[in-house]
Amino acid sequence: MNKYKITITLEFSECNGYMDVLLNYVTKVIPNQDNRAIINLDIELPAQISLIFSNKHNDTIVDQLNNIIKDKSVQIKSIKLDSFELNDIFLQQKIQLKTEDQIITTSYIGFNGEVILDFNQNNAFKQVIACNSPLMEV
Amino acid sequence: MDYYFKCLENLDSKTVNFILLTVPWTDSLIPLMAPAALKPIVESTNLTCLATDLNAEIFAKFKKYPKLITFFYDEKIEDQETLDLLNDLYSSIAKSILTWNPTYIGLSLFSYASQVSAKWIAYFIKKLDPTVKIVIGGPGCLDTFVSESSTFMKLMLKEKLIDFHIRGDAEHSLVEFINANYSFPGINDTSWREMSKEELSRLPYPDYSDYNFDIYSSKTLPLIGTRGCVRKCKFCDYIENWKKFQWRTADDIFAEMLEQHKQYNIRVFKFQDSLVNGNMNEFLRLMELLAEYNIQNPNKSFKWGGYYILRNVTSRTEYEWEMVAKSGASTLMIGIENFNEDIRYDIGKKFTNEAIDFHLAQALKYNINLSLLNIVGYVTETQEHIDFIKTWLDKHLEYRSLVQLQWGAGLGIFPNTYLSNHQEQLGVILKDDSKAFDWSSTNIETNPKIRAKWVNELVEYSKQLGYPVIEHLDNHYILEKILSEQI
Repeated sequence: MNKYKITITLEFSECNGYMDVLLNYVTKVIPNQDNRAIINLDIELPAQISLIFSNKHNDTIVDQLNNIIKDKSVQIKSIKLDSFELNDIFLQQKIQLKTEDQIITTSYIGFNGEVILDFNQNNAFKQVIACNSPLMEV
Repeated sequence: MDYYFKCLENLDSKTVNFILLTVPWTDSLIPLMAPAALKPIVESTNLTCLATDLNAEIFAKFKKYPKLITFFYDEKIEDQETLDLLNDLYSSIAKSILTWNPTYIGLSLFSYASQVSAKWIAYFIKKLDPTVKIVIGGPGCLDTFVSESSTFMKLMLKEKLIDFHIRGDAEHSLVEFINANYSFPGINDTSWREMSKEELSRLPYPDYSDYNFDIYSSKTLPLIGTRGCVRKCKFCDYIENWKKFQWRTADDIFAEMLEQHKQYNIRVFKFQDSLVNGNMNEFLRLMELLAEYNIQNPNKSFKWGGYYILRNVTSRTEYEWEMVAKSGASTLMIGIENFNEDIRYDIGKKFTNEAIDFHLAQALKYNINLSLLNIVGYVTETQEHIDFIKTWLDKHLEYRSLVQLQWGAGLGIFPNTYLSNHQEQLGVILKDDSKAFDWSSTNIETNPKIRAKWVNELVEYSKQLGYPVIEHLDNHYILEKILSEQI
C-alpha cells in the first residue's frame, strides 16, 4: 500500500545553455526537445526528493527597461502523486529553493540551489491533501 | 485506527457480486434510496447485491464535526488530526467493502458534495484491489446538476479510479451495464434516456433489507411517485434533467406503501419526488386510499410527507385539505420561494398571497406542519422586498407553531435554467457558469454578499419572532464562504 508513483514535470528555459538538474544527488535530469523533462519515480512514503539546480551564472538577458527577455531557468510545472495533481497552493506557496544565502518560496528556479520535496506523510491520500491544503505545513 | 460500519459488516465472510453504496456527504435525516431502488434491478440479473446507505452511518457519526464537512466540500484540511481521521475513515470503508469480495462496486453520488469522498473511496479500493470494477452514478457526478459534461467523471475515468459511470435514470441502464451493453445511453456518456411512464410503473419496489433503520433520527421510508414537474420555475434545474412529468398511479404507490410497511414495520413515508400533487386526480385518489386505510387501521395508521405545490383557491381546495389531513400528512414541504407576490409570479409560481393565507389557515385547521422553502435574492429582489417579508412574518405569527422556515443560501443561477439562458435580458451578470452564487445585476443593487446578508437577516428576524428555522449545514457553509469573499 505504501508504494506510490510520483511524476514531476520540469520546463527548462535556455540562455547560454540549460541549468543542470540533479535528482536525488545521483541522476542528471536532461530536457527533451520540447525543453521539458518528466521525472517518474516509484517511491515509498514518507520520502524526500532532492533537486539540485546549478550552472546558472549571469545567464539573464534584459532589455533597456530591465524586462527579462531570456533567462536560464527551470519551472516546476506539475507534480503528480499516483492519480492526483498537487495544486497551485503547493506549487506556488510550498516549494522552497535553498540557495547559498537565502530561502525563496518559488517553483520558478532562477538561481542555483536545492529544492527538497519533503513528503512527510505515510500515504498518498494524506500527502496530497496535506500538500494541497493552504494551512497545512509540508 | 479502523472504523466499524454496521452497514458493511460481514460476520459470515459472505460474497456478493455487486455492492451499491451512498457516499458522504449528504445532510439527510432519512434514508437515501438509490441503492435500495437499484438492488432489485441488480438481483433481477441473477447477481447478488448488498445495497446500503453508508452516507447515513457516516452522517450519524460525524455530523457534529465541521472540519470534516469542510473537507467534503473543499478537499482541504487544517490539521493532522483531521487528516488522520479521514485517512482512517476512507481506508476502513475500502477494507470493509472488500471483505465482501464484490465484482462490482456502485457508488451513488447524491450531490457534488459526494465527489471528494467518491474519489478517495475509489482510490483506496483500487489500491487494495485493482481488479474490482467501480461504477459511479447520480446527479453528484456532474459539474452542476444539469451539466452536459462532467470534469469529475472524465478525471475519474482517465485516472482509472473508476471503470464506468452512469448518467440519469439507472433503473434501466444498470441492467444493460451488467449485460455488458456499454453503448446504452447514459453509460460512460452524459446523454441518457428518461424512463417512460410505463417503465416507471413497472419498477420493482425498493429493497431496504440491507439498511439499518436504527441510525436515522426519523424512521421513515422514502418513495417516488413522480418524476419531472408540472411547473416551469425560472430558477429550477431539476426540470432540465427530467423534462417530462411522469407519474405512477395512486393504486401502485399505495400498494408499495402497504408492502413496505409489511416488510419493515415503518408507517412513515417521505415522497422524494419534486411534488406529490402534480396530477391531482391521482393525488386525490391516493389521499382517499390512505384516508380509508387510516380509518380502518387507527392503531397503525400511515403518515407521510413530501413536496407539495400550492395553487390558487378553487371550490375543491377545502376538500383537498380535508383529504390531505385524513390521509396522514404530517409535514408538507412547500416551495413558496418568496412571500412577495410579484417575485413569485415572475418565478412562475402563480398563486396569490391570499391563496397562501387560505392554505395556511387550512393547514392550521388540520394541524399539518408546513416547511416553507424560500429563495432570497431573486433577480428582481431589493431591500424593499426583504422588508415586506419581515412585515409578512410579523403579520402571520399565529402560524409559528405550524411552519418551519428555510431561507437557503441565496439565489444560485444554474446552467440551462431559464435564468441562466436569459441573463442579458434579465440584467444578470454571471461571471462563471460554475459559480452559481457569484452573480450581480445591471438592474438592481445585488451581489453575493448582499444576498447572504439578507439571508442571515431573515434567519435572525424569523428566530426573534419565534418561527422555527431549518438551517442546513451545506447552506450555512455556502453563506460563510460568500461572506468571507471566497465565493
